[in-house]
Amino acid sequence: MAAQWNVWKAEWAVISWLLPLALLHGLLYLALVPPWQHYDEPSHFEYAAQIAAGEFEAPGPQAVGISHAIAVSMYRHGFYPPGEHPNIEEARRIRLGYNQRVHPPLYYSVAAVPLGFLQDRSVELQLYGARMVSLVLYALSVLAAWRIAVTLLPDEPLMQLVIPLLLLFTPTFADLMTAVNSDVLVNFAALVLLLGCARLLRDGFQPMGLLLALFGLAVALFTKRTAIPMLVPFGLTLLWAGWRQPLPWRIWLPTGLSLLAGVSIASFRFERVEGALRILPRDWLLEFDRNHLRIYLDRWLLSVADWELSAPIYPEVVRVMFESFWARLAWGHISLGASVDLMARMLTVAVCIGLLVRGWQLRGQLPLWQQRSIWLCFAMVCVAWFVTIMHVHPLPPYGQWLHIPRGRYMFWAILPHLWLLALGWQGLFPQPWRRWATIGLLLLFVGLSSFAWSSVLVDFYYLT
Amino acid sequence: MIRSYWFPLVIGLLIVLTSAAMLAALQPVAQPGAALDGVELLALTEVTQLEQRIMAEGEYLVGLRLGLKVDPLATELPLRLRLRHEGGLPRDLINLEVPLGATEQGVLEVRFAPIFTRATLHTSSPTLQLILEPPPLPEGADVRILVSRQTEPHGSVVVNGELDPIFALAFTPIYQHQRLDALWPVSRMAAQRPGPLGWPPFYPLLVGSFLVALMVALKHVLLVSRESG
Repeated sequence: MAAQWNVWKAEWAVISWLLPLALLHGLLYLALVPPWQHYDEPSHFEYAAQIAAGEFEAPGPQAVGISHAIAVSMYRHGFYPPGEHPNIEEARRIRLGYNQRVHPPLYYSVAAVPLGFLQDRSVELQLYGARMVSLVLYALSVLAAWRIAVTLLPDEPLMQLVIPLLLLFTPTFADLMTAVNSDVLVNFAALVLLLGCARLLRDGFQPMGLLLALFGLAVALFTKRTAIPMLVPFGLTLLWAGWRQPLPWRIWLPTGLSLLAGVSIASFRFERVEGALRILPRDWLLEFDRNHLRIYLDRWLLSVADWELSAPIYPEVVRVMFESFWARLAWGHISLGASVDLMARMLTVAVCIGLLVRGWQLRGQLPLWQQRSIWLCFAMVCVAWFVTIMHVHPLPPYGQWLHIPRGRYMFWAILPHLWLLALGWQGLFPQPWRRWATIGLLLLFVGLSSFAWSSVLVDFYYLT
Repeated sequence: MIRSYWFPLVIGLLIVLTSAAMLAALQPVAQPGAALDGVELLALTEVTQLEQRIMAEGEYLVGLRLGLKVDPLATELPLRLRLRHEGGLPRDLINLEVPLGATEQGVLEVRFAPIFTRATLHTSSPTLQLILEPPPLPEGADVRILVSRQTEPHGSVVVNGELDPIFALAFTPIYQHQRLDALWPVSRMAAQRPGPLGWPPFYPLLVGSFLVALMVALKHVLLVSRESG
């Protein structure tokens, strides 16, 4: 009992400074970024405001007034270029951006809670009320990251603190996580899922781990379709939690390939189209796609198969994703500069080398569950990149606007990114220097965050 | 070593914070509006609306002073005051009512949340449109507003929709001036923000608090690093 009490005391000691730090850091971004200056913030807020006004199923009579109030506020806060203003003379809804009604209402119902109490207050106050929900989820995400690090790295107390702090100080993450955006709930749910997975990997099937993983997965799936790739780490974890012995490649390779072949045959068919053999989705998958995924699988497959058209686009997609993952804020229009982009590239290359070194050094030293946790992170990073790159398909006809996905779509896997980053960083240094190198990495992120909010200040308040 | 430096560090940061907040204290500055040459009092008996352009000279408009002569019969009645960007969206930046009885020694001072007046990439117009809507006056009540023959630089007043060729409203704009703005535009950050976000000292206090929390975090990280090493 006394030992348990000491554990709780030690944990509370961490929470007592980590939680206020997360809240204050998030509050900085919440306060510094002007209203409506996050990705699709007006349209996300509009959906939540409609729910708060009782229009849950579809936009109703109040939707016009809500859209006008938001548009006027956007105008007041200098969202529109000089000389332009929204047309509020006509009694019809103003288009505020991408229609978020295609997403399930879970996140928007949560964001609508403070709006319900602020209905008769200014739309700006309502916006900040909804942002406060995001701020709380950001702080909880940092705490979840800390618990993940404690679970997966029981013998590394320094890394247990550094991992959540790296997440906390990643500026693009803090920026998005204090916005009104359904990605906020997806990212939080992904961390809860990862916490559940970590416990399942460490302890095998146990109720709390399973509950956390299922809760995280369910919340993510009921928030946004971009959460579907989270089924991969969940499936892997279930497999590894159930089979806690080493799996020889002679077993998992043929089993995995057979499973993949079976799923492929059940999902796709070949058909000759205009003389060429094409792979097309089966009818059930097509219907599922139209109702839920909205990838437009038939066109998507045709687009992916057109290598000549798509191959030149991938390098640009990867560049945009990479830069926006680390160094683009607000609507993606605030850049931290070419030097930060270059630093991020150099760091990534160095860390990849460090990962190889560290992987070689750690071979056979870690228990199986810890090895698997590293592979799980690796799988999440690969899936996040692959799915987001593929998001560029189906490509539009030549000359039309191409939507390039931004790095924020990979934030559900940001902790695995940061963990591999820290691991690879350690691999670059000899053992006696690793402690200070880890603190150096943390200070680098603190500097990056400070530079980021200085850039926000300069762009929004000094230059304009 | 870390523990021994910890307390003075926090105290030092708190002193910096307090100083920053004191530096950020509000210092409203009233500037001349329309010059007071050839002033006259315009009777509001038949007036339903007065419009006056304001060419803002300061960056943060936080109030206006109007010259009024108010009859005791009308002290309970409200004067509606609205402000808009001229040529912009026909929506009010400010829309409030002030009782005519708030007039003291012939001056009605109206205060409101700061309006950022400078034309930038993000704001469309440096010129504001002031709209005054006097209440219907009871019979026998005499309420008058100060107008001036000097119409530069703001232009003439529009009375009930008709441009007066001679007079302009004689008003005094009140601008918010903060010393900290020269270093850090806290007034601009607070302009048109709700609640505590609209209070300029909030921003230096927030940054200061964050720095304290950061120092605490780094202290813990260093302690753990030392213990685990």
